[in-house]
Amino acid sequence: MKATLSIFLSALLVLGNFTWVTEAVATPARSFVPSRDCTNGSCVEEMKDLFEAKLRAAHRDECLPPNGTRNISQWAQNHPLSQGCLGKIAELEELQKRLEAVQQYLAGLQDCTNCGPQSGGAATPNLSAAVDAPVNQCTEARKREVINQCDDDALCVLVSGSTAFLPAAVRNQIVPRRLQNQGCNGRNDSCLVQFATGFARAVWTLFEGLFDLLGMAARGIRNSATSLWTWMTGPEAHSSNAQLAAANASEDEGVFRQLVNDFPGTMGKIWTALLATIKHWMSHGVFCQAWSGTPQFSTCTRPAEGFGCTSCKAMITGMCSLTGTIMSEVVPAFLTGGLSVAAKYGATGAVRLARLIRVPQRTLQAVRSSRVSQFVVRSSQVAATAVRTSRVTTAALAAARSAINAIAPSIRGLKNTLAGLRQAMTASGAYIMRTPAGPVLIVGLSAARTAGRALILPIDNALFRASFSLGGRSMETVLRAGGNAVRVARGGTIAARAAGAADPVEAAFVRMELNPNGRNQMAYVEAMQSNRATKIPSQLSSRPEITFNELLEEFYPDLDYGKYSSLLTASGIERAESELFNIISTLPDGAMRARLLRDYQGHLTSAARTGMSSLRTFPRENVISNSALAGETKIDTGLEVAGINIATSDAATVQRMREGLRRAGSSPDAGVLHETAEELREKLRILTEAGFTDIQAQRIVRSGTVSTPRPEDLFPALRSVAVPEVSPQMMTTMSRSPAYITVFENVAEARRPAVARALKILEADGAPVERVAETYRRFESQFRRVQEGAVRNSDPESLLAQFIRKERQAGKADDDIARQLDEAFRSCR
Amino acid sequence: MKYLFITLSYLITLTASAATQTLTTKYGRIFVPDIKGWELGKNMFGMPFLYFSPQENGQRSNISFTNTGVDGELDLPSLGKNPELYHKMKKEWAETIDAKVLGFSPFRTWKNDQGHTVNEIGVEYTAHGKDYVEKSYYIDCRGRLLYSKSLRLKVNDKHTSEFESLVKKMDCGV
Repeated sequence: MKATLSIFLSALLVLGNFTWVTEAVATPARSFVPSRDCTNGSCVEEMKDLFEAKLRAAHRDECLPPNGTRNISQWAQNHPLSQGCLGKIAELEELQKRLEAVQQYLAGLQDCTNCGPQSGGAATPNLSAAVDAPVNQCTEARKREVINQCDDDALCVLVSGSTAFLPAAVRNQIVPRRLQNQGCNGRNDSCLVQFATGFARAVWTLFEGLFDLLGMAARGIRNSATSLWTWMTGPEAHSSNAQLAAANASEDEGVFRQLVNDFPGTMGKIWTALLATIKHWMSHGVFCQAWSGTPQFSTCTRPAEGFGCTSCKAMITGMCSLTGTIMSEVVPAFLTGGLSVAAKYGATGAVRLARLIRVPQRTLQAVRSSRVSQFVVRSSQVAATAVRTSRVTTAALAAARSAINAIAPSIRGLKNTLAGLRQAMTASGAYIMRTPAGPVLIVGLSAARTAGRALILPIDNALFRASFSLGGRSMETVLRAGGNAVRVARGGTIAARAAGAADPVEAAFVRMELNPNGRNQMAYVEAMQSNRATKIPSQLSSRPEITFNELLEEFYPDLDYGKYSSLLTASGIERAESELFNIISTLPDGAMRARLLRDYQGHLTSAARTGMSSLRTFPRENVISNSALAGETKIDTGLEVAGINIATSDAATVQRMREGLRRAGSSPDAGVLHETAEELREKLRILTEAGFTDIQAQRIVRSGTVSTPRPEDLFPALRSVAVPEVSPQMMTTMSRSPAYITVFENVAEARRPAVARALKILEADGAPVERVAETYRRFESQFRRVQEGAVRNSDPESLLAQFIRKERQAGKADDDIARQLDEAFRSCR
Repeated sequence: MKYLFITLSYLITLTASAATQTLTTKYGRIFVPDIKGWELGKNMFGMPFLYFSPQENGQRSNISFTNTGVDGELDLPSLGKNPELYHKMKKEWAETIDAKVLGFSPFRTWKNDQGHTVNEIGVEYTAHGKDYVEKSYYIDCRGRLLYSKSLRLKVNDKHTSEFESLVKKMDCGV
């Protein structure tokens, strides 16, 4: 068992992800041969930079334990590893192995003291001739060629760099068809891909994913304001950048349309603009030779030469170790300030865009100290430099060896850490767990206890192995393959093991996960319907903290209105609703009963249910207004809700039902939508005794036609009416206004402030006070009606004014509005 | 007399009802009113939904809606105890884009029309020569955290009421 586990972990960590592309790769990566791929140590500098950058990133993202961690097992059990982390670890391990291979290779090389041309590096006898050769001159034509190649290279690597963020179909939209036909492969340009990945992360990272669920659970963030704000820092910054960028882009209608209609393609254009901008920034900013005034804040009068003929790949490789800095300091300013220019002009907008880049002095210094500075030469020196640096000398070999030796402790440290992680996984068991934020690898089951309901897949099982042998290497593929799943409920209770299909619900669940079609979904719902009655009581008694959403998710998928409900008939859904009500309303724990009942009522009046055309739905507003109906109207509505046709039904039965409705309505309750379970059960009892079926009785209760209205629910509209404030001074001014004098004279003193507020509402559309006074007088009789019964601190006048205003805005004539009001008043009598 | 109010309320409710759009996310659905002339953008800059106003003073205001997938139980109103942490966070963010914070709107907690608790806080800043007003809304919707953020040019005050109306009427479902 342990040997197998180890093999598959190795497969996961080493083979599964290393190719820069985490999806399944049909052909294995070409093996690395130092003598061929890193002749005389030529790759060392780049590999070293990359290794250091990736090691820093892995520590920063908590993919590896901090340096010096003693108990790696404990760390691993508290830190679920995302797919991204596993990719990073695999890349690092591969780099570590390559560096070790190079180290060994360099150690066996003889120092080159008298290298001839055949060794690929001796000085050319006629150096000046080589320098002057047309191919080595940085001509305008050569510059154009480099720019075009830069764009093509950049787009290809962006496709590779976006693998973790976008599906293949969307990624293909980034590159034009011309490049697709030529074969676009940017995978080998490791540093440029790393840079592109950073850009892709900035523009494509799914915002929902930033609300790091596992991180939150693992750190116990719930109620501490400090922790909550810290937790929200990432999402706040991301959304602020994104929305400012979108607002900025909307300034140009053409750019805005491009973004809305073809975001991936537009981002490709913007990415090439970013690289061109950085190039321009190098020559006209960082390495500018002379300024018209204050350096960095004035115009560069003598730009650095050399960058015009430097390929994008070479430039970015030269600043590989600064990728993180550039991404954090340059990209946000670029996206939030220059998007419309970048989308409109692409690389040709670089001159304008480069002005947006403002970085601290330390970053400027870091860029100047990086290897990118080697490109700052006069054009005639380009060829000479290239020739000189290609010489293999004793010094070059020594430099390569010394570079590797410098990072030897880090390489050893990584090896030990990975060995510790493997040991922890072997000892505690490793699982893949599906979470809302994506699949993660967990060590032991303790992380699952805080991370919510999930499908957990032990790595060591037949289907997992099969998925690897079939070439499926991503965790999503593995999860789709399913297998001997252990389903973990919230709180860490292992609900059931699906192995061997011992539990029909779990077996149906796994089948559905393996193949999520309508038939399997229905089979899962049916299995749940047949079996939940035996499961729920024990679950509820052992989990007093269970939330309504959990209850739905775990036992009532048929009441997931957006998903499974669409598979059922209306009566099937209503049956499930009735069943759930009976379960909740008979719970012995009063607090739990009240909490779940409140959420149950909220669920049934939610917009999700209202959106289902097959169901008779009762939006919250209708339930409240039904409860407020009076006398026979309320009873007629109750019969209508239950689907009783008075004309065709037996008169005695109808009479019994009417009486039942009357009795259920007068049965005491705490107010509509606030009834206790006992009160609702009593009403249901009365209704079923009166001849209604269970479903009919449920509908009636839910419709509000046997509930008592609550005073505070009677003014839903007032809550959306912004009642204006009228200070005593304003009151005095208004009452002295010639237009309003007669208005106030006819109003009781106590109601004058309320009338003043109503007048302010009528004034809101900018009508002059004379016209407002006229409107008031037009509806004076209606205003008097509402004032007659108004109580202190109420504002029926404002409500009426708002109503008149809305109806007028809807184009209704004053006479029609008055008639509508009068009819309403009459029916209220 | 109270029936008079009921009738009025009901009439207003009926006349005020507007088309609702459903934003489907992997964590459930969000329901927001459809505003005439506004436009929905999907998956831009990783944001699942951005709702854009018509252009006003040269720019479109926008508001995002995100179902975070985070189950409730968070004590969101407690955020109001340390608004200075938010202030610090926004100042640090502003530096990254060469912007400058002009001020903050206070943290407040209120109930929207659907009965969901909204926790709101905002910042005003200037970036690339323009003044902006940004508001973050952390909404506890049936035990799940919805996140919304509005952004407008300071001069586009007229979009405040539309932003408020969207958050006021926002609802969620499975």
